[in-house]
Amino acid sequence: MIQRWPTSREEKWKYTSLGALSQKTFAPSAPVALDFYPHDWGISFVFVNGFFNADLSDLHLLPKEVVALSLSQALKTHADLICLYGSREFDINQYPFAASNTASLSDGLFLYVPKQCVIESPIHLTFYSTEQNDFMSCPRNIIVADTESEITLIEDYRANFDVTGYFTNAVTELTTKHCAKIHYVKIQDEHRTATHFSHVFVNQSAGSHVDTFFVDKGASLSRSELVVHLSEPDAVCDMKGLVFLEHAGQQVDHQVVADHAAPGCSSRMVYKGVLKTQSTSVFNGKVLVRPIASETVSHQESHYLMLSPHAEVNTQPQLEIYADNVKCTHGATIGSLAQEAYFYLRSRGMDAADASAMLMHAFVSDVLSAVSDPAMREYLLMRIDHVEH
Amino acid sequence: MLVIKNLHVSVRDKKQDVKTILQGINLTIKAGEVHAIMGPNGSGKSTLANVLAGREGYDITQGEILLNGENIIEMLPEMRAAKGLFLAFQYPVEIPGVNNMYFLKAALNSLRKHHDLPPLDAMDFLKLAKKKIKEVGMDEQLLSRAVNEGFSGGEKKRNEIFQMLMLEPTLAILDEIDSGLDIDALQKVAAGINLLRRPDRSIVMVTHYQRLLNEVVPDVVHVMVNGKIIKSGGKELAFELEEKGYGWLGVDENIT
Ligand SMILES: Nc1ncnc2c1ncn2[C@@H]1O[C@H](COP(=O)(O)OP(=O)(O)OP(=O)(O)O)[C@@H](O)[C@H]1O
Ligand SMILES: [Mg+2]
Repeated sequence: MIQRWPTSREEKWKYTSLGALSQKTFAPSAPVALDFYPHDWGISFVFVNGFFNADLSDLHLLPKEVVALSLSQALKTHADLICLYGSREFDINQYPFAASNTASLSDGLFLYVPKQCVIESPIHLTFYSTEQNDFMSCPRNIIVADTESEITLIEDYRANFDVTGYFTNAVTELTTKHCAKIHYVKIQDEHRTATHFSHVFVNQSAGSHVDTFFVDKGASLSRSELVVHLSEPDAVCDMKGLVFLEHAGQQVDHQVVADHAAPGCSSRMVYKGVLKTQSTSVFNGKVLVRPIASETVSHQESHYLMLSPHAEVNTQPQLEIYADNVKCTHGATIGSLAQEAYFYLRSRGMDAADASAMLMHAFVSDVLSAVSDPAMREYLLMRIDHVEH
Repeated sequence: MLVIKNLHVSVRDKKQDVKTILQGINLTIKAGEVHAIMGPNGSGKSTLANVLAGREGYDITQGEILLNGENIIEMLPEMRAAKGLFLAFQYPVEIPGVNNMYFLKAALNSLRKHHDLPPLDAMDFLKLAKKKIKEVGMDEQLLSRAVNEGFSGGEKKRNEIFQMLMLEPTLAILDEIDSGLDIDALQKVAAGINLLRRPDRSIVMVTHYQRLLNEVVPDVVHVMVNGKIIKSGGKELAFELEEKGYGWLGVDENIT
């Protein structure tokens, strides 16, 4: 199903070995009947093993003028719109897994938000894996926010405790037209035996605003590529990420690209991670400022906290600047728990686990408190703390 | 309450050279007593306080520390806190991102859990906190800030005393709680310490000045020099030290 396996000689794959994965075979995912799924809030689309399940979904808060269909349905009725916004061919050399997502597509959401439509409730896409082992699902979401519209979207991966060894290979395409806004959250809380690969491609028109918030805590191997094209002037993209690794052998790899292809755009990446055990995290943030993109403002930072001497973090800022009059800054830190603070808390009676949990929360608190909607902040905190498997 | 027998403590510096700081401390503090420890800079007072609270990084090469008869040398800091020990830090730690009130509630409830008491809920905690914060004259707004972050020197010290009053330890070790306080603050802090005094509680104050000892009158004053207690006496000893310095005890004042 994967036509080309990249090797560690390729810069983007330097720290993520695919040796073991390429030896495995995965069955195609099959739709599974499920009677009940508790939905957290908002407008809910539930996909089980990659396939849309209308009965488990709750769309009653969705405004009528919005087009929201499972991709399989949309391909039949809205082929023209899909061609317009989601027809990208992925180069098998540059994006081998996105290319194989196209080849083995399962299902996903097609969402078209018309001009000036502002949807207050978050749109929650849950991709739930259950019953089947060692399968591969290839969800594909195509999201379009037309001129001056605004949405909040949560793309959420979780699994039943008894499902093992499966492979999620997801692609999401976000398009914001003139002055539209997308608040995008992705929660990766897959089963800890799973492999999770995802691509999120963002294409921004003039004056549009996108913020992305990635939470990674599950899977044995998780890799996300976030590629943001700021293709017209004055677009803003704010990218955040939190990584929490508690299981030995876990690996999370973030490849983030901000491609400034128009003047006056700004991009900001802030990624933080906590590695509790022998685990690995990669952050590779690339800022490309093309010759036309004068007056670009970009900032990139990554901070990792390693609580185990066997944890490993690789961070790599890449700045390619071909324009004048740009402001690009970056910074990175890798450290361990502040021993002074740790002792202070324990001297007041908190045990080691509570004290380190408190300091971990403190470490990520600035990223979380930047989430402007308090309900979303609460929800993220709850999901971060919740231990599923 | 506390018995320290022949305590020797050393540290390794960055070059891995061993440096012995405490060289045979003997000290007995009975329930209800207030002791003061004075002594030149670098004599080992804070080291003793830290070792009592269970800070890592010290090698205890000899001796015993008995808290109510139990040797606590191997005990985790949080267990010592649960047994009633409290250290007010000479340099309270700033913890960005941790809310002061949230922190103290977690601490208090950890201790309550140890004593099989139900946790205080947010309302009860707030009521208690508001009462105690008045007793140390601390600005209520400091409760909603991050622990000690950006606090002035005096605010940090008051925050230590506020925590002490909230946690109600049976053995409070106060390391230079009087340094950096203005005159009014010193009164408040001293009043706070006196509030804690009870026949079943003991207090150890590390200080350089007589001022605090006028407000919180000690039963015993010790002089520590070069990691040893070289003299102990009544409260008059503090007056003598204030007047004459450490020279008359046969100590070279420049040794540190
Ligand atoms: N971790 C350490 N590594 C090296 N030297 C140390 C360490 N901790 C303490 N010392 C040294 O031990 C000596 C005693 O320090 P301590 O802080 O206990 O003194 P003190 O009596 O509290 O002084 P002050 O009155 O200035 O607070 C000092 O010379 C100090 O530099
Ligand atoms: Mg000291």
